[in-house]
Amino acid sequence: MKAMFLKRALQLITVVWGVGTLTFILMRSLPGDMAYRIAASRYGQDNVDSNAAALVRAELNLDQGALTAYWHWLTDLLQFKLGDSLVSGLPVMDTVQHMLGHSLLLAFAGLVLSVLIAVPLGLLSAWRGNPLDSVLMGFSSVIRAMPVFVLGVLFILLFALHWNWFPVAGFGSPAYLVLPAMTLALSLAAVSNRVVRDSAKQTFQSAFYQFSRVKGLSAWQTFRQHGVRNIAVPVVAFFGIQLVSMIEGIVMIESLFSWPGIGHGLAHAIFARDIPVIQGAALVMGILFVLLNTLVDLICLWIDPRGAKKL
Amino acid sequence: MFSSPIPRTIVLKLNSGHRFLEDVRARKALSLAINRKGIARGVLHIPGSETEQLLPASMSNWYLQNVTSETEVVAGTPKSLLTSLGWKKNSQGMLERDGELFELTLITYADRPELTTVATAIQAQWQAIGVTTKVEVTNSSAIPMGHQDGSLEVALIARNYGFIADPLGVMLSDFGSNGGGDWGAMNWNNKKLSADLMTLEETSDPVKYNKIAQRSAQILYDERPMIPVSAYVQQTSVNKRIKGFRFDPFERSFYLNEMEFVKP
Repeated sequence: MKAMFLKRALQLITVVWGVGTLTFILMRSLPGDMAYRIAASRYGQDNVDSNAAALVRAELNLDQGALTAYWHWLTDLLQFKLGDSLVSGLPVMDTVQHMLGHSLLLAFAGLVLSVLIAVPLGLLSAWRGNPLDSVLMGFSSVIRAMPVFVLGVLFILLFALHWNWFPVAGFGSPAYLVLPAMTLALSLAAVSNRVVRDSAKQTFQSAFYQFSRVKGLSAWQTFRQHGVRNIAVPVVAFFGIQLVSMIEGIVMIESLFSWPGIGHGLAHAIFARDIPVIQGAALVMGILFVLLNTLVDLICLWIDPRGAKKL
Repeated sequence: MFSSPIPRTIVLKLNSGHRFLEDVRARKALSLAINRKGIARGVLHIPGSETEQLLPASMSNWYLQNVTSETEVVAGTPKSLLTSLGWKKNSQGMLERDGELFELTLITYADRPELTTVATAIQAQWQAIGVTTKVEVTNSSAIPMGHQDGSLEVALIARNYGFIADPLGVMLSDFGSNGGGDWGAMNWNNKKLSADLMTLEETSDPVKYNKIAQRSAQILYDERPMIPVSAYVQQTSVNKRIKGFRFDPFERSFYLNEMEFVKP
């Protein structure tokens, strides 16, 4: 256990440095002049001119060399300082914290919904077999094949514009959470139901499972005693892996539904070349990824203590 | 729905120092090739918003009453004007001169979504006269940047001439003495116009002001350092529960104090 935490702590440091450095290099290599981009974001699309850009350049000291800027960022980071937004001037920490709350809410709602969809459907596929299995698997392939924004647009068209059940986009009452969370949940469930189904099928066909029936346990008792834990390990591990696609999906979904989360903020910051906010948001996403993976490892360990040796 | 004309114009900013665009005949040919009525009706869905002039009719000092959609036709056709400059169509139907194709890069920005569709309409209309246009959708800041570093060839922009009620300030920054401005003419200088704009700064007599402004508008129309396409119409949708809405074309006030909630 101790070794695992040490390993994860080392990973965290590497991820923080790696993500920050990579973001820095990528943002510096983008075409276009930073001063003009930032000025356009500050003063409005049609109001930016070369004088405004020159002011921004002087104010933010954008003429300094890449290495100097990188060194400043690194020393600030060691002091846990993320700097201020180049556009709004507000501390990045506050901005990211505000956005993170909204993203976590959406991610949590999406994940819970996806579990509620994927687990029963996966178990049903494995238990009933064909033709239901093929229908459900085919349907999940269709959903997975669709980019997440297409799914979102379809939901907006149907549930917001056609039936008028939920708002199109934005943030406010819980009704605003429904469509983005459903979009995220469905795109996640389209893969995880397959993992649940495969894991369940494997367990149902295994010798120990068959034996427990032979020795006289009922179907439900067998499932509860010998099924749940065995099915759960690969499924929980997969949910951990899926967090990558969730972080990916959140950027798209938040932008589509104008959800004020970290993905939406990141997209806007990239357009505006607001490098401190981009680095801050990417760092938080990287840290989140390591932390969530650690959490998944711990849950797996709790479900199946035999795995401790592997970690 | 409220439709209010505002002093903003969709206009093509041209690099008049570019070897294909330095002659006014080339600029006129490109202007003549644009089907403004078609763009207003088919792309913008605001019939009647087409314009041949930079400033709207509401800014009467700067608006030429005698100019119509037919006025420019007197100069010739796109074909005759370009032929007089030595351009000939090649076997693919594209214009060529001394082995060089008439190719231009048109940049625009997506913050105003209509600009991208208008840009592609212009691309197709110029294609019809043999001009190859590459449309690049970028950030609005690429326009002042392209002006400064000289890389800009053509840009489709939406210029606001009504920052203040008198557009003279914008005209000075766009067509002043230094060969244009970030959002105005580029590599184009007209001494008469520069002198007129300077004189206007010190003119308070309205009759004299009108005369000089009209002369300036005529120079801009004749020389085409920028090609106007369409005048802006602000569309505002107002909820039935709101009474007393009115729109300020100079975008200085929302007149919130005049609005009230009523039962629909």
